Amino acid sequence: MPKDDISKKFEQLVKENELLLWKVCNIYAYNPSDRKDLFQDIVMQLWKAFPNFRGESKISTWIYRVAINTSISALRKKNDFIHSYDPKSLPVDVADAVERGMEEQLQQLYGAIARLNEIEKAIVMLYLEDRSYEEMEEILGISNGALRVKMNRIKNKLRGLTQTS
Amino acid sequence: MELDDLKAGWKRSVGNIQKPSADIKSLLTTKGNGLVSELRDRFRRGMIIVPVVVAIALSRLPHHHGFVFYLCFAFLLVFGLSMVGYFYFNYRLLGRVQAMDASVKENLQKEVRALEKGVRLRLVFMRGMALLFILMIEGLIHFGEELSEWNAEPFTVRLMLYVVAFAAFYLLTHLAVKHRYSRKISHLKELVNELE
Repeated sequence: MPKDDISKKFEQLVKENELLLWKVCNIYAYNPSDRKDLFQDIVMQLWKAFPNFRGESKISTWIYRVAINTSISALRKKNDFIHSYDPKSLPVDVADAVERGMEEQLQQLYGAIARLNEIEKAIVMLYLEDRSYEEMEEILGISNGALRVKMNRIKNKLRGLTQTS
Repeated sequence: MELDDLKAGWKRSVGNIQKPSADIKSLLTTKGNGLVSELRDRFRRGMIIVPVVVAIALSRLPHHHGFVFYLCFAFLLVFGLSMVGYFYFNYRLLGRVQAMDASVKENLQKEVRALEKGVRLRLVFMRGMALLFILMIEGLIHFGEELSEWNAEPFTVRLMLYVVAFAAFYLLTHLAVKHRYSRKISHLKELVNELE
């Protein structure tokens, strides 16, 4: 395939999945500049991996793999990454979310998610995105059974974190 | 509030995610494209700069002492080649780490292996250079007129001091590398264990 066609196809793919990419960025980075850097990193990695994509897995599975791997390894290299949590800059905009009474509770939960480690964040995000356990298994490389156990542990951990905060 | 309660809120609120306008084409052509790439660029630059610096240093070596000249020449040459080899190895290693389309677990395992290998290589390189430096000093005092005061010391004293200096260097490099990488490696291993 000519390079121009590949590039157009790739651009189309990124545009179609832009929201997915920003969701990953919002889960892993908590200030606009980190998010933008991460987005750029992920797009670069997708571009590099794109010629090797054989369609053996779903496109979303492939994108999640690259996006999560990039988030874990590239941003971890920044010393301030783990400490960049800013409660005012939560992963998603909750201003319009549900009723105003729930806003505080939602904020607490997002704050608790921000305190999880990189793997737990990935699991929570995929869970919230309603991804099947089979797809999560393919993305993370963890067995279905272990994933369910892990999910329960994370739920308990989040419960504990929201209660203490 | 439970995680399941968040699902509905998540679906609604992700629609409101602020997406800064991203021009994909320009993102791909931007030079600064991520930390791993930046690091790769640094190693690539190193592979170019080191031979130039070594070549300049070699051309400026004083030619009046035959053996000393050859010794310094050999040392600089070995040092330069080792540096280039070290940069090249890391450059290739990062290239392998850069492929991010494996599962998260596989990718983390790959990164742990690469980091451990890189750390081992760095230690071997630094210690090898220290040994070479000691050998060069010995060569200089045996075959040249330099360091005559040091030459006046008996060989056993010199040997003992070399051993002490090398042991201190060995320990220092061990501590420095451990301080710099062990937290990173153990954090990555923890993440891998999370996926077991």
